[in-house]
Amino acid sequence: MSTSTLTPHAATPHTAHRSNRNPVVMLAGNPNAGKTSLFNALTGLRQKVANYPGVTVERVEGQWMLHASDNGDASGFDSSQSLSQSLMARVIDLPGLYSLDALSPDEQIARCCLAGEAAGVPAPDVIIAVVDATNLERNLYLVTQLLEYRKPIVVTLTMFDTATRRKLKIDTAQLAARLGVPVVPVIVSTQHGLDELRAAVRQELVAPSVVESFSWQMDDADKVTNATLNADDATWNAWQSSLEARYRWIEDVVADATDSTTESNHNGRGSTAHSEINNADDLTTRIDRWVTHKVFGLLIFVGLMLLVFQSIFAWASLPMDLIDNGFGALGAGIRAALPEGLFTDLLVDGIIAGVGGVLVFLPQICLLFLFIALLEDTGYMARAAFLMDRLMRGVGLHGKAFVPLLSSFACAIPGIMATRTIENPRDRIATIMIAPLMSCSARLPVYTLMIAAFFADRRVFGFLSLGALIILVMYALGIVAAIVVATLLKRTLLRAPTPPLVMELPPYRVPQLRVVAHTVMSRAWMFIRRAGTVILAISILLWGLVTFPRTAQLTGEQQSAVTQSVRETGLENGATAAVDVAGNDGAEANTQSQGAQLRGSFAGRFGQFIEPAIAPLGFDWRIGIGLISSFAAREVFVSTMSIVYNVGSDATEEDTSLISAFTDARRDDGSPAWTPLVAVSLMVFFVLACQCMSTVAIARRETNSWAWTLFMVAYMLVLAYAASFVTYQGGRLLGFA
Amino acid sequence: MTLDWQILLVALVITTAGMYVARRLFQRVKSLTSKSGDGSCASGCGSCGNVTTNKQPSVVQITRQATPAKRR
Repeated sequence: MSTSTLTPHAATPHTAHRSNRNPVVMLAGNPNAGKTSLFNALTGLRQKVANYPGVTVERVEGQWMLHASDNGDASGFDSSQSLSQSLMARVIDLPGLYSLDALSPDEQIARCCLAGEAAGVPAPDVIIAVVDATNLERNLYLVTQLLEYRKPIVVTLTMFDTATRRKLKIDTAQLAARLGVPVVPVIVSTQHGLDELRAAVRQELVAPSVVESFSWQMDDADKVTNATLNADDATWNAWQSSLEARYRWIEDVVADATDSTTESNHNGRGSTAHSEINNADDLTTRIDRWVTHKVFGLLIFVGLMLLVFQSIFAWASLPMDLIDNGFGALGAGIRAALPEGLFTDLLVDGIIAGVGGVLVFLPQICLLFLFIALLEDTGYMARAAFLMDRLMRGVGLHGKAFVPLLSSFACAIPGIMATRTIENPRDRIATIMIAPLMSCSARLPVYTLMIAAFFADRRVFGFLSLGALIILVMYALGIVAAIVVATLLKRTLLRAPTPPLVMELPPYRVPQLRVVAHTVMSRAWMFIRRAGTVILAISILLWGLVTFPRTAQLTGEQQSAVTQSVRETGLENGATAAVDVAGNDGAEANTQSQGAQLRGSFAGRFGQFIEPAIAPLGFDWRIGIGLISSFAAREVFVSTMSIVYNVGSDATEEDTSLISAFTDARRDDGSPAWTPLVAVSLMVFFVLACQCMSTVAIARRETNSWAWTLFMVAYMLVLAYAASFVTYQGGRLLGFA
Repeated sequence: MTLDWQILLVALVITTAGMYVARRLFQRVKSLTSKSGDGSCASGCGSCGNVTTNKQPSVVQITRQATPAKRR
């Protein structure tokens, strides 16, 4: 078989150079080949990386300084000839794709960019073909297709250290000669090879090497060009022969470029790097035998999830207490330092109680994302998807749907975006519709608050925390609801055959500390930023809504509401009586006064307005205020409760102030406002309700349909209401109230 | 109620918070009403959410003619 010919492209002026714009370098390669890791290393950015295919689903852009290295240019390229020393390139990381036969939206984005058809992005001046060195044969298929673009290409061998460790020797010079383009091995974790890559890209910018003829193509390939798959047998056979020729060529190249002693161990020439890897992956195979087992695999999955939640509860309690006490002390300090007045109340009861009430859950959020990052980076997530394929197919969903659903446990937004890996539009919409049912991290503070208030320190089987078990049940409830909804959708509105799942299971690897730390830090920062912006602003507004109008300003109907409230508690002289009563009576009267103030406030009146609608779920008007505010962001429920129950005024007390406020709260008839049954009903509502504006926005964009978006919001609300109703009323019938 | 500095500060803070929330809400609503593909992802190809399965045969991808996407 003949080799490809390498022809310097010096005659063609370089477009970037000619137009004086920054050169565009695109990273293209198979999923999970290490494109984003390389992109991060080149640009210094910190895009999400994980050990499973389909992490990057959109184009990401950064800048890469193409200066010559201090140690001289490895390629011998004289940069002074054509490029300035500080040339800045636009580096674009593309979603992974196995071939240019783009079917799914993420693959279409990649192909669109490579073909120069994406808005705002010129065609690439250089393509860096990212090739997983441990899986040359499969990765080279895409490279052969990229070569046909006739663009300057540099092949980068990633995971070269892993290949070396597995005694897979690759002759990069031989590979470069066979491919007709430069080949640069890199080890991203140690930055090894990045200078050589930079030099190779510079070389290609000045004097591109473009392969002119492709030996894998058959003579009649041009005839095949415009053929269709339903054409006659001759055309089909010609296409198939062409494909086989390409694969034969790749096998030939891999055999040439890999070490001969390696080959001799595997039945000679026909054996490739692929079989070498299979043998080297004994550990992965042994682990997978258990982890992907249809019975043990599921047990391991459930056990792992339980362990995660148990650890979240056990390990987070100390830092949570510290944060809570810190905010308590801060509130007390401010109240002592500032004179009494509205602004002091706003600081303590609005801002500190509101934001602090949410920030106290930061340790749990960090732990949750620590476990998610560990599971992602080890490669377990892909196994979980494989395990769930049977379940997914049972309800008519594509097996690929599980990865977006898993992502939704962190946040529904990347989860919905991850559905771009699904080719069939109907499967994709069905997955988008159910993704928000997965319990995202924003729900965790609500679950934790309810569990801390009503199910704390209880054990099951003597060792298992009841709280961890309840959280697992809440997560499971979301999954079960998603399965039911998906089944209904796939059998009615979105009926379509389900294609089989073909998914790459990456080898297990030790999690990279840097990647895990970055995931946790970025999520923690996101949570803090959210608390410092949206939640802070909403807390301030809510404080205003529960503070105004002031009791003294109430008139007419409002005053009668207050009077009635106070009369119910035996204080005939209204709110002003509170200040006249000394000792314990005074404290009680003060509480009554605050209750009257809340009831007469804007928020209180709105809560009472919606109370008839939510009473069947076990919620009183104060919970109603929290429910409405949580539609801005779920965590706001916690800050709202802190403000509504005026926790800030008790900031000097123990950290259980909000919890004790819950247990002390009474309805108008004197019955407890909060019971364990109400807490469960509320958690069920939060599992199933669509309370996130950002999720609605991303669903609208990704479905490109208002109808589907509104359908999603409506069905989730109806489902949440119905499930909460059944939980509360059913619980009462069973005597749990 | 006398109009002291605390009341003025409270009014200022609440107004600022209200403007911030309103701005966020406006941005969200604006993004909801944007046309297909506008800012839906970084690619700007405009096809997000409106994906149709590629009816073209795989064979067109392996020819030596350039820009396969133009044949879609």
